[in-house]
Amino acid sequence: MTGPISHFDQLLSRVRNLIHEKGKPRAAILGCNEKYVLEAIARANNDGMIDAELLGVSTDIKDKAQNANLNIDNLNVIEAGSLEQAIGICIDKVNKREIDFILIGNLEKLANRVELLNGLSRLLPGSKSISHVALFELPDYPRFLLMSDGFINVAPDIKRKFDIIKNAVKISNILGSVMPKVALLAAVEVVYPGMRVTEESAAISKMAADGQIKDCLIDGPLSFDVATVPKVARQKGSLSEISGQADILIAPNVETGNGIYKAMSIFVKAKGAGAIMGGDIPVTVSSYCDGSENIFYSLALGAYMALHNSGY
Amino acid sequence: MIKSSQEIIEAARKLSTITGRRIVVAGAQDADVIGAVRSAMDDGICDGLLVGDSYLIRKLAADNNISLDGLEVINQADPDQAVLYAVQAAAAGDADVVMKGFVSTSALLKGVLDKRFNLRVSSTLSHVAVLDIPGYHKLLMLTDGGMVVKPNIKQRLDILENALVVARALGIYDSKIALSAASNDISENMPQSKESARIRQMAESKNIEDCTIAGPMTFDMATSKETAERAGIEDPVAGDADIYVVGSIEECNITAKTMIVFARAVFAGVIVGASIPVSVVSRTDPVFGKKVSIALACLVADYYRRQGREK
Repeated sequence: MTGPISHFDQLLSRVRNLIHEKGKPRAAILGCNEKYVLEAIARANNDGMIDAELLGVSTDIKDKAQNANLNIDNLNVIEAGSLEQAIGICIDKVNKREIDFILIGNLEKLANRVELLNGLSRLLPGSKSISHVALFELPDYPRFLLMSDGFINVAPDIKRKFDIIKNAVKISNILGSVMPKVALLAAVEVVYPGMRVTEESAAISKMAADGQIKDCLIDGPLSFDVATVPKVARQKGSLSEISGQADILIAPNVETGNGIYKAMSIFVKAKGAGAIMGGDIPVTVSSYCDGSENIFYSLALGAYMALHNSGY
Repeated sequence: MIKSSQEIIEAARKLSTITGRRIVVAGAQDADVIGAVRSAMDDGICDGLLVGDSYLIRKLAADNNISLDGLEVINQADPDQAVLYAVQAAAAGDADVVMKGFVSTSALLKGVLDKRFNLRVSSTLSHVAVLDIPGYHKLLMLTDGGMVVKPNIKQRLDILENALVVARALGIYDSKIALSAASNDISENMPQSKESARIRQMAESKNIEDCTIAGPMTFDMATSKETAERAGIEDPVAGDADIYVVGSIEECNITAKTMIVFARAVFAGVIVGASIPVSVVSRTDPVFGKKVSIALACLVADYYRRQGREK
């Protein structure tokens, strides 16, 4: 057993090894009528990383590809006039085991929020607890940093946060991290009665300490810098095992998670990937602010989750 | 218009020769704070009045090789008395900025809001973070990450207006303001998107001067022209925001820290809403950041002084 995967180059080489062993994963792609998404698909296709099926309005997809000077002649395009229809085709393919994972390009552009959430709940039946997990590779950080949830769960309560944590831990486990360190983010490191986020974080930490949440170490409330910077953790006298070396950051609400994701993308220019966890099939996603490189990494993450040895 | 943290220091230094301003520290027995005031004074940004346990102030200064030359030390060992003295000095015009030392933030703010001193100008005190982010073409203000935990609509409007005070102090008279949400559309199941839209309406009907307001708007749309274009959002604020008004203390604090930790953003902050700016620096702020925070508070003080003259 090798150690945890800690950067995207390593992920790509693991995916190549798995493909050598098991063959290419089959990916269905929704929301692919955009230059950056198409670039990522073309690269993954050229690299022999996926067998892709593009779902959407074929003339539109072909136009966009042509405008971006991309040759997608050897890619399968399946006509789907609406999101509704595309999801229907996708569900059918999942049931017939004709696809191994799904990429949703352009999360926000594809549909409005309510339509998207409805679509996802049809696509991932039995998934009362889906959440978005982001994966970042940062120049100043020695391991992948996971973050959740900046897209799906608006104001999760404690019970919902359990699911969010579980879903993030699952990706971490798949990437080979055995007991990931989970930081429950807040604006401060201590509990202030009346400051709801700190109260909830403390309750979750206590439940984790009592063994009610497994397969991870949890601490919170922790501020962002205490969770990620060892020097700040020491200065603030924060002694937990998680301080300064978090593997997973849990945002208190969707706005905060979204802010982290967007700041990582626009100003940190982090390499990153995203997934929607909680369903029976790996679903990876990209947002407006993701360039083609990060969409490609989302495809690689989907491929890895679909193929890796212990099963999704 | 001031566009970087270095320019904040330079502007404060330049104005200081005219106004000769002074900063008063409540509970100055704090080596970091003494060091920051010393350094600001050496840079010609301000003079300092250190109120607190004078024995400890002198001892800490000596232990850390900080000279107290030119700094006035007032002995008020009791924290409440130190706050009272500092606020009184500010109210009497003997100081232009109140800075937090070794006293609790809540005790300091209670002093600032004490009706006897008549320093309150807004019904909400809020913290404005001014970030100098590599890769952004100007300063970006994020608010409120320090005072109001979960502001209601009325408070968020106050927070917006308080941020405009800081913007004007930085010479920005055409602020582009985005009201935050995790979605650019008004979404039924995202209360903050609805609130942002409502606040925008209220601000527009109030005819607040010196700004253009947009929202709900996600952080990437507010700060990246490229992303906004890709999303087809045509709005003068998109990609060019000066001020991002968020919905909770966590959203502000954590988004700002993401950029401080991983994008090497320089952070400065000031509390506004009173006629005297309040400066609170954190032990973990780097030396340069602490100095920018002091300079920023001084610029806000100068702005209030100019306003007072005009009235």
